[in-house]
Amino acid sequence: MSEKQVIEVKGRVIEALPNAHFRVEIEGGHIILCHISGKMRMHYIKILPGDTVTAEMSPYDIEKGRIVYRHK
Amino acid sequence: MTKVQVKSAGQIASMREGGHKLVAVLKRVIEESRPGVTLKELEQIARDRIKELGAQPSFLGYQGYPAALCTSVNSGIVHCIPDSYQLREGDLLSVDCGLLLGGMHTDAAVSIVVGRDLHHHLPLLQSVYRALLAGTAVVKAGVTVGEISRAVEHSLKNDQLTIMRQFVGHGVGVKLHEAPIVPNVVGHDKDVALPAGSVVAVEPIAGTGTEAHSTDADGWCARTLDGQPVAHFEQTILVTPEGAEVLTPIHSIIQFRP
Repeated sequence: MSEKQVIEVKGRVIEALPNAHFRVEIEGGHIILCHISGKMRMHYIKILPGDTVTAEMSPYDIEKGRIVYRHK
Repeated sequence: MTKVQVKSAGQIASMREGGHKLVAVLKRVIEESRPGVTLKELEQIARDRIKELGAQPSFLGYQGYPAALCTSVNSGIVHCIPDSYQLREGDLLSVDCGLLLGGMHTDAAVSIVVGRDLHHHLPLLQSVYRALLAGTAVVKAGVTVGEISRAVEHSLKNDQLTIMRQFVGHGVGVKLHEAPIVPNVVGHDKDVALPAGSVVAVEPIAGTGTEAHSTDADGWCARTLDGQPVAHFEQTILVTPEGAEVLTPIHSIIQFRP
């Protein structure tokens, strides 16, 4: 039986919400609720609506993600 | 990640015996996979055979999974629970099974075409099996998981298949799923080195359509959204100083020439 692992997806930030959460539209048109990763927070990397980001999604909850990279 | 477990000689012997019995179970299930047969009947055949061989099904009750087999048909990717679906000529059926013997688990899977290959699934089966062979070929003491992932990834990409990245191989032994994760693309655990005496299950899962998939209402069966088929092959491999020892020799039950 195969194991499930986190999947990385690229998306565009649609909306900035309180507490460093963002609504992100990922490939396929799905909208997921993401939060900024601790590492990005630590390095004071800002995310704005319209940014292209990479998010990690848990296979156990496909509505949520963790933003791990902001693209140029 | 927890440490990769090295198995004792006794544990390896149990897994060797378990692996052979698992292949016998899969062989029986494949032989009975004919048009008109329901997935539930295959499930019963598997359970009976496992019991006859003096072993236990690994999947039954694993995190609540209600069966001994995963029977994923056509657009079904993995973890499809056997139901009253009747197999049809030309269906692509992936059978995944685990066996517990002497306290040790073994895990293997084969994909077959039911009856005549009406929809030409054979190239897909051959490609995914080739990827499994490619991953197995690089295994020897000290190999990193990343090297296995790379071999599988290159083989599948070479055949222009879409890899279902969310489903991965894994260590196997006292538990059905152990460290490390063995993905089918280079990523997770790529620098983890496998010592002699460790055991991993390598399982390429790839299809002809896109990666987008959903999970059925039962919470288990993953299915492609575009309806394209996915094939799945898996074997349990012991890492030795000389190379790989396949504990579940599925090559003996493959229908085709790879």
